[in-house]
Amino acid sequence: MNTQATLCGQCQSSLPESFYNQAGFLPCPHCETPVRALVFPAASRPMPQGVLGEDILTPDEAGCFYHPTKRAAISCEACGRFLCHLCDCAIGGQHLCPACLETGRTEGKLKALETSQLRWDNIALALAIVPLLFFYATLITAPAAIYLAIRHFNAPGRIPPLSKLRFVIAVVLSLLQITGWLIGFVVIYYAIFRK
Amino acid sequence: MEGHYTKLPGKGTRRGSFIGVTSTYSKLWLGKDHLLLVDSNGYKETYKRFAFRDIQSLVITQTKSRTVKHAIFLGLATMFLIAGILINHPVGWILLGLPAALFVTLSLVNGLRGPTCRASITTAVQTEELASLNRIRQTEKILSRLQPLILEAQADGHKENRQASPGP
Repeated sequence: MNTQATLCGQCQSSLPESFYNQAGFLPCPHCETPVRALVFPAASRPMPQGVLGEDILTPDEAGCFYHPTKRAAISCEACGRFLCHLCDCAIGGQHLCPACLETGRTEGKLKALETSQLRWDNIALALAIVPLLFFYATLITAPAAIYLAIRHFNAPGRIPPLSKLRFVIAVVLSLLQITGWLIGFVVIYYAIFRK
Repeated sequence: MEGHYTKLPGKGTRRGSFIGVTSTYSKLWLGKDHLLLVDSNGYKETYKRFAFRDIQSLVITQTKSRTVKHAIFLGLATMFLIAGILINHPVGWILLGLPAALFVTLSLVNGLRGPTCRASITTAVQTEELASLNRIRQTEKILSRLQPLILEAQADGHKENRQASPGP
């Protein structure tokens, strides 16, 4: 069994079982703070036991790619290597070998393993808006914002999907800033050289 | 595992973050077989997944945040009103009356949103605070939506093996 104690959110003391799954709040026996605990069957469920690789008994049995003395139980869905139970990494409904799992993680192909992501849409938008306070910076930041918006427009999306609106706003604002600069340059050019 | 997500109502700031500068906002998304906790500082998001079949408990603790916020908002409103009375000038009344009205409105909104709480989720390996569940009324609604999903996932949890694991 691998059950964590159900603790009061205020004093972190363990709550008695009489508190579990009550309809309303009950005062914590230690700190008197009203608390409600919903406890699910998983709390009393034993942790599933891991399966170890089985030894090869006859020479005609296929062995694991990583442990040649262990019997192959499954093949990797990405590279096709035979794997024993120990090397079978089951994730997101796929069976992968440790190498493919690592490749999938580093290349960001396995969404189920992704634990963080940069918000390129917010960065592009900030790059289009914040430098307006220091107008001269927009000469550099406006093209940079357009570059980031276009570069990451179709990048693997945020895990909960989000609209591309911020990218679009960033591009429009940056184009306006660049247009402003171009008009400014033309005006200066005519003012100085075409007098 | 991944795919369609439904955004759950509520947005909260993680404890320990400084307003505006290092704030980490927390939101919850409902997946097909798991709950996704998204923490964001605006430029980077971190994800934590809680498979329904692994959730051991959800604990909600009532907090005094609403009373504290009321005291702060009404205190500031009173301060501006007193300053307005002391200045006793039409321009002063407008300049100091507006922030006073703003704080009274904030206090009203705070009152209408109902009592506050702190929620945490426990699995076999971790306990995590769900900062977006910070109002009891809203939390109860979300829990009434989550509870059947968790119970359903755990009803046949004994038959399943570790295949459908959502990752770390």
